[in-house]
Amino acid sequence: MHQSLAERVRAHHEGGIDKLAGMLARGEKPFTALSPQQRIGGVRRFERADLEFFNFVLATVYFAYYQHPLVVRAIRQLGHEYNDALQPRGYLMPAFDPQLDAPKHSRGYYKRTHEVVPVDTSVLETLLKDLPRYSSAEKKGHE
Amino acid sequence: MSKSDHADVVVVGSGMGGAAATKILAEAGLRVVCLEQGRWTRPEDHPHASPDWEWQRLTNWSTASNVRQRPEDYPVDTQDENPLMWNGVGGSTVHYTATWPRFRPSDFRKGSEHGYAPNWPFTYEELAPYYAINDRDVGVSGWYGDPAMPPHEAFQTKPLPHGLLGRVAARGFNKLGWHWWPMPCAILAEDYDGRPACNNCGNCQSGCNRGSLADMQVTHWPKAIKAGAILRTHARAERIEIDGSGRATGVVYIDLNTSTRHFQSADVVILACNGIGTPRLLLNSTSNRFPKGLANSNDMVGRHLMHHGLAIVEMWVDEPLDSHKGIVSAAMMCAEFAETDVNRGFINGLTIHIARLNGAGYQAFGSHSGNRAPWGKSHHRWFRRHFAHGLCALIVGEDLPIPNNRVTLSETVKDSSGIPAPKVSYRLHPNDRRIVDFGIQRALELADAIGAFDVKVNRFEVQGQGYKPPAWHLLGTCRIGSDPETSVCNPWHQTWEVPNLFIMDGSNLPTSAAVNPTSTIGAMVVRAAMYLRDNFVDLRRAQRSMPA
Repeated sequence: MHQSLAERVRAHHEGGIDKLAGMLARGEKPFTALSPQQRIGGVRRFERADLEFFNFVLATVYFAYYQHPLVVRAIRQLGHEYNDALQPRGYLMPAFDPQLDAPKHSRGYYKRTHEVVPVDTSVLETLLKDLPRYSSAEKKGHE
Repeated sequence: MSKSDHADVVVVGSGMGGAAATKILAEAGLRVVCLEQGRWTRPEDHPHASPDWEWQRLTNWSTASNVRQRPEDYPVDTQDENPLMWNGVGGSTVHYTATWPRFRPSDFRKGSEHGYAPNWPFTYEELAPYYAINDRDVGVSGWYGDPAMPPHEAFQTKPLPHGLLGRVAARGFNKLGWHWWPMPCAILAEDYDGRPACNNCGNCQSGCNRGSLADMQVTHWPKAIKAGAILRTHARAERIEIDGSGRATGVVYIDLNTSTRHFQSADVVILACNGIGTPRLLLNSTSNRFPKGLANSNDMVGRHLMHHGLAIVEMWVDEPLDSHKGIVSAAMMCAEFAETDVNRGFINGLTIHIARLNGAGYQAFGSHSGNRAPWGKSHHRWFRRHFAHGLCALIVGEDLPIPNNRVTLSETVKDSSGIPAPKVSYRLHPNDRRIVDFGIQRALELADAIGAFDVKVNRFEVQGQGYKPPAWHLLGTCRIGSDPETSVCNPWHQTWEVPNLFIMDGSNLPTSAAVNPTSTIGAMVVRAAMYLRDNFVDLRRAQRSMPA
């Protein structure tokens, strides 16, 4: 996962590895030499200092993390069916069941073509005043 | 510049419009050449079989061409939106969600209803037979009998699995007393026409490597090629040429493999490059006769760009929804607010689509709403609570055809072939913003109805830039109409000014409706292509376009 992370940062952000190391270091100490509290502080400072780059790094970390085989296994241990690669397995889902899934209501309506008549838009005159107007006589026949 | 053998018809673009037109005309025995700047996407090119499929979706499989930047992609110069398109065989059907509702009858009569958008030059009833033809060609899953839509032919397959997510959403809509119906989708729930049923992998937005989703590469192109159509890939159209009488003579294109220019002559030219690509090509095809761009003396080319007004409301509930399984969009649609009711404070309407949330990485990083798992100590607790417990309510509002929402040519940006890039300007009108705001409030009511413990709204607002939506639907920029002063094409998609130049894609739509457009684009193109086929002897020599 770490190699994949570095490759992704390099591929999408020129000089990104050095920039990342610089953002996270504390003085002469690299990130890996810091205490947990210092690391959290360093990440917070990074987030405040360069949000755009931080978001890129965060995305890279999250996506690399959640594709890792150990993490995929952990998701499954939570009780979820979860594929690392989506195909060819896919997911087995119960087919659409008319008894359970079909709408039982009769709600909903549509205006038939011959029912489309002018609506009174005078209450919206201010909202719509800058818009061009079109004739209703554009379509000839078939009405 | 080399010249290719003369064709009856040259089609530019191989998406829904180009594929449907080519298939119909080739099956009629015409010599049809289609120019496509991209390439075929093979099943193994999709990321689905790789554990890094989510990362690929963010990068080389990004739906945004400005992010993806493949060799066949061209830049879109805009600060107003994130244009989403695929440049390859199949066009954007390679990576769309294949959501397939029809427009409703009133969508075709906005001129009659309120007059702030034009009437289409035909009605829903006139287009209905062509919806049916196109549906048979792609294979649509759905449930017959929606009271919110006119009756029509049976769907090709039953609906896709609702899953736990669909059942919870249905419970919420029932509690609110609102309409809902299984979403028609051009994704197969059963084997059809030699293609397998969907296996619910949950990554439609990186396309489908099985052929279950209606990608034109698997639905139309095999049949078009079998009928004799020639599909020329890596062929980037540069301009349309005309003769002294103002008729189109063919297309100059660049072979992206060799950077050499070629000319494909034809009796009829059809543009199907989407709502950004088509006006761009016309605007780049200037001449003494058409100094403002081909077929653009009335300055209508590129105007009235529509995308829909969009927002997302995501909500999480205690019960597991398995929201990483199944098609992304959409399990169902609520059309309770689709028709105009001025008492709401706006004209036109909206629909609410219930969608899924993709994989674990995507869900941790905020899914569609930006509700991100925090980094640090609470990350895993957040993930355990939220993963596979969420659903997405996508608000799709009809946006008005605003003249200054438009595609022009960039003065500074060019593509890799040196062709000026399109420049896109787009702002949501206050009426359409009210529609989105109304939809968000309704989605929050749904969240309450299903007992959501967490809710996140994404208005697609970017700090300092305002509303900056994902522009999936590229519509309106070369619209059809009955009035040559306010449209680019006549009711048969023939440009008013160039009688043997046709446009057959999403740029033709005069209104956007409150639903996804591909079903309607396909139906409209089938109608236009059949007209062209049936009148080809006259149209290939026409000196003037047909009046409305």
